[in-house]
Amino acid sequence: MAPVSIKGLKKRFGSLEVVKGIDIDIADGEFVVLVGPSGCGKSTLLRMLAGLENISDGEIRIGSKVVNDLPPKDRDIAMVFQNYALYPHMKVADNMGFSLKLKKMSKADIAPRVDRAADILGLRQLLDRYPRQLSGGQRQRVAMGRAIVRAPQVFLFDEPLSNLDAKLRVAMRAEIKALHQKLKTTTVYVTHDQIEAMTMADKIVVMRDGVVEQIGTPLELYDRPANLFVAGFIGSPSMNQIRGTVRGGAFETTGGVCLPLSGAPKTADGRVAIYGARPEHFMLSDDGLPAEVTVVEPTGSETHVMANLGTTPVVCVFRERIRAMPGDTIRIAPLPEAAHLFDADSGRAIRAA
Amino acid sequence: MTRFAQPPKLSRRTFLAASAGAASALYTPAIRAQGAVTLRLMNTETAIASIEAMKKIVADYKALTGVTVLFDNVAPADEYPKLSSAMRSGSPYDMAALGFIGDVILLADQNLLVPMNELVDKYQWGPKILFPYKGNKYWLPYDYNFCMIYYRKDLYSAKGLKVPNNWTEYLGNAEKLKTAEMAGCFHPTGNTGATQWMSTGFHFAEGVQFLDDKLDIVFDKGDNGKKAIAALDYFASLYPNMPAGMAQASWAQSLGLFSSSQVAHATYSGRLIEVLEDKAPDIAAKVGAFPYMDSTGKQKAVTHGYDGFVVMNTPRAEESMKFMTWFAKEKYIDWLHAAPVHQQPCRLDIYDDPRWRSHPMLQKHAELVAEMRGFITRPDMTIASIDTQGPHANLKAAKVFESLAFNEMLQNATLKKMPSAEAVGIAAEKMRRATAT
Amino acid sequence: MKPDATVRIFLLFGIAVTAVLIILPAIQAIVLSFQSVNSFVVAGEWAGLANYRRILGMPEFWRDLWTGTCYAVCTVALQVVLGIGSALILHAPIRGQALFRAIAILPYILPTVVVAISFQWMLDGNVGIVTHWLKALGISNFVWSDSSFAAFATVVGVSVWMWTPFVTICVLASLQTIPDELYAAARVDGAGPFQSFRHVTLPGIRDVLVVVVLLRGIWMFNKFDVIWLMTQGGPLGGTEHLPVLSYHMAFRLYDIGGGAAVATLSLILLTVALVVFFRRFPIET
Repeated sequence: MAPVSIKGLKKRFGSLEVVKGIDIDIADGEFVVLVGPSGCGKSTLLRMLAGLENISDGEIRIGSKVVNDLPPKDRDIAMVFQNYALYPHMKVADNMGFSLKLKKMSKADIAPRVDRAADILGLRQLLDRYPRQLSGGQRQRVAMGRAIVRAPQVFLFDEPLSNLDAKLRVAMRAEIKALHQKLKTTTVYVTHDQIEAMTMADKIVVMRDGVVEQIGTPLELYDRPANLFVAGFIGSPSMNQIRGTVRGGAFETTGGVCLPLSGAPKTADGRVAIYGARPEHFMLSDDGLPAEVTVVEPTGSETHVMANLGTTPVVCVFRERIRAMPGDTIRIAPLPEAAHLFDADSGRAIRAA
Repeated sequence: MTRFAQPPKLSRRTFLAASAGAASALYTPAIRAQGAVTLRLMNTETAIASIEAMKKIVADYKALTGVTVLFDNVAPADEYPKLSSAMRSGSPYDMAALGFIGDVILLADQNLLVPMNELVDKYQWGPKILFPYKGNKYWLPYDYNFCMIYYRKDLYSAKGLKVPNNWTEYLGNAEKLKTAEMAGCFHPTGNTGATQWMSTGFHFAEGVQFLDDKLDIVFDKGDNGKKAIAALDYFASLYPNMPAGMAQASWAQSLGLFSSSQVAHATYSGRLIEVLEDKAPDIAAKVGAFPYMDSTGKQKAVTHGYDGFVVMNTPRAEESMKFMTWFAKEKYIDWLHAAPVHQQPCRLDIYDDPRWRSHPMLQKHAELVAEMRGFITRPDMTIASIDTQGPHANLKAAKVFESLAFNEMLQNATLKKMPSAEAVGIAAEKMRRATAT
Repeated sequence: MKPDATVRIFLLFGIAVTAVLIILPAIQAIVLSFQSVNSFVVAGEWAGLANYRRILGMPEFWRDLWTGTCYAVCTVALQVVLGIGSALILHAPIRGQALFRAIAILPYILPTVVVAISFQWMLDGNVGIVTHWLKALGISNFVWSDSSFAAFATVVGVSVWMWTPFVTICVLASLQTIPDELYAAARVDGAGPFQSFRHVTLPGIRDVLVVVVLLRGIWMFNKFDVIWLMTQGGPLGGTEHLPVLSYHMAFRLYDIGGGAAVATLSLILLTVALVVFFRRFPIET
């Protein structure tokens, strides 16, 4: 276990800069998720951490050691890949013990470590199988087992669950998290799935176009997104973003509907801005604003309603079951204390000082 | 051996006739197909001039008789497989040009050839060309393909050399003419027919026999064996004067090296003159030829590579024979003129035929042509080839030829430096094994 | 037409073609090997095992079997090693990759006769360009056809030159199926270039290699044209293998039964070798 520190990290492919100066501090034992849309540079960053990509500029430290020029094997890391990357001709046990074998460790020393990792992951019965004889979830577990066996300072996960079906993904998510809680190894986990990020991370790093948009705990990002991008990326369904103007402590949409605000800074008054309201932060209320229902999606536990607030389409999520039909008018009220305000030009959050 | 009592039943013609008959009820003009004769000829002279000459000959025959002669050109090495597979497939050749006596014997043995005695007996022939087999003459020969040794008159006179009469003289000439750029003589040792043709002459001149009158292998026996050893010793002594790569050399190298002045003596038939006239006319004017010679200067030899036409035993044999008769009378010279110096006539009347003699190449090289004709008539001349050894045409000699025993003997003597006595013994054993079946 | 009827018709067609073009001739060759026959035209006489007895007693047979085996093993081994090597080079992302790939395949698409004659001329002891170069290097007496070993090495070299591209193409195709992730995983696990090759590349192309070695092994063991064109088995039998022996007996010595027996023995030996090979290297599914 070791802290990881990334400073001013850049990656260029020819003239194309894909990582544009990134600073992240990862505490010892922390579970950090790098999240962002595809092409944001998160996988490249991970591969630089692993030593699979050269570093164009900046510095990476693992523990106290600068690892910029160290080959992967000397960085004391282990990596789990999206497609598992199991050696197809090796049995599970050999796959897991391969790195130790390359370190010239004796068979007698390798076996107990493989067994221990297999026990942790419930792979005991599978040790003599070949990867092709395993299901996707089992393969993923073997890939993790291969990482565990090495007892590295840092685990690196590169979208490890994206090839699994939805149900298995939820289960594996929990398993990885439980594993982390058991082993307490510093972990850097890359995903494009914000739910994975939210559910697993101690700390989320949201990236876009090679830069960090925000770093924080899941709830910090949810509650206080630093900008429109983070606001839109975190949370599902996405935050409603409504264009308009701040007027006298309230928000007037371009369609002329007035939405409540609480604690908007005085300086914001009169500014063109974006009003952010999460779907789950709309309440059904007789005092609410009238909205015409266009689509109703019951999910069982909650109901997703798409409605037009004046001319502005919004998505609302209610815990209640709603009988409204498309065409009906419902009355909804956003929670003023949960509303967000963003600068229309920069996209930055506008907050009271 | 089980023989074919009858020629193949369903021939092309009977098939044609049958289908024509069947069709005639519906389509009357098809009846004419019944009268039209088509003959198939396998040609093994694959030089372009020969193919062109044959085209002209069959066109003339068609114009004259209405008979169509279709011909295919087949490499001589493939003549036997090609002939037999054509027969097997039900569309046999009616005539063929063959160049290997073993093939003729095998076909005759299987009753697949028609004797040509009547046609052949019309003409006068040179020695060692008819190969009568079991009393019949199965082919109409057209050339000898004598292999002789060529020399450069200019080089000879520059060094004051004379045409060699015995082994020592020939070796001496080769040694004297040898320079860094030019080898002394050319006698291949590889596993091709070029070796049997170009490198057996010293043995034959020395009087070596491969088979005795009872067709036993006597190559290593008694006096004959001593001669074989002596001739091999002599060959080995010539070897250092030869160009590199004799174990791979073939016909083409002889032509190439001689025409580019890289070897002082070459071995070939008259073809060499034709090639020189084409590629190196300045050298062509300066060459002469002499036969292989023995150790004492008493006897000479040339090896032959005879060719002739056979008529196959098909339902069209009578038509084929008519064509061959016409060909022998009218077109024989045209055919020879396709390769005028190379195809040395074996029919004696040709030499006096003004039509043959008038060919410009034969006029130009009259001296050489006279020398070549002398090979047929000179009393001190042996005409021989391994495959025509023995008292009469026989298959054993053909097998001795194809066993490549002689070729390997030369390789043993030259590449392995094996003592000649041992190499002769090994060769004779190999000949015996090859002829055991 | 019902789909299974279509399948059946195609299958029947395939069986018919195989039977007519492969099985019948093979059976006929085997039948001929038990006969004393010197022509394809007439029926031979039943000879029992006489041909086999005769051939097994021929020193040439054993020599040619050995030569042919050496030829097959040497050519296949070199083709595989060079084929993998060139495939790795062509697999690397280099400028002009498509061009290099096209060039690398060239020898394979040239007709054998062209290759054989070209090499014969290049190696000709008098006018060959190679001879010329060797002379410039001070080696003036090398004539490839003058020793059995040099001739053998030459036909091996020409065969390797000619048929390595087949291995290259197969291996290259197979290399492209190995995911990059596997190489990344190996690097993280601590594998160097050699270990990556040993543990990722080689297992990744193994199945293709098994098939390639199998096919090339059969082809090289039966390869006739290049040897016949270049050496006719010489000098001194140094390059003579069973196909040349069989051809020589059947088509030159009028010993079709003997030639067929050589071919049949060759077929049996090859079949045994294949069975052993498959036992040792099963193709995983």
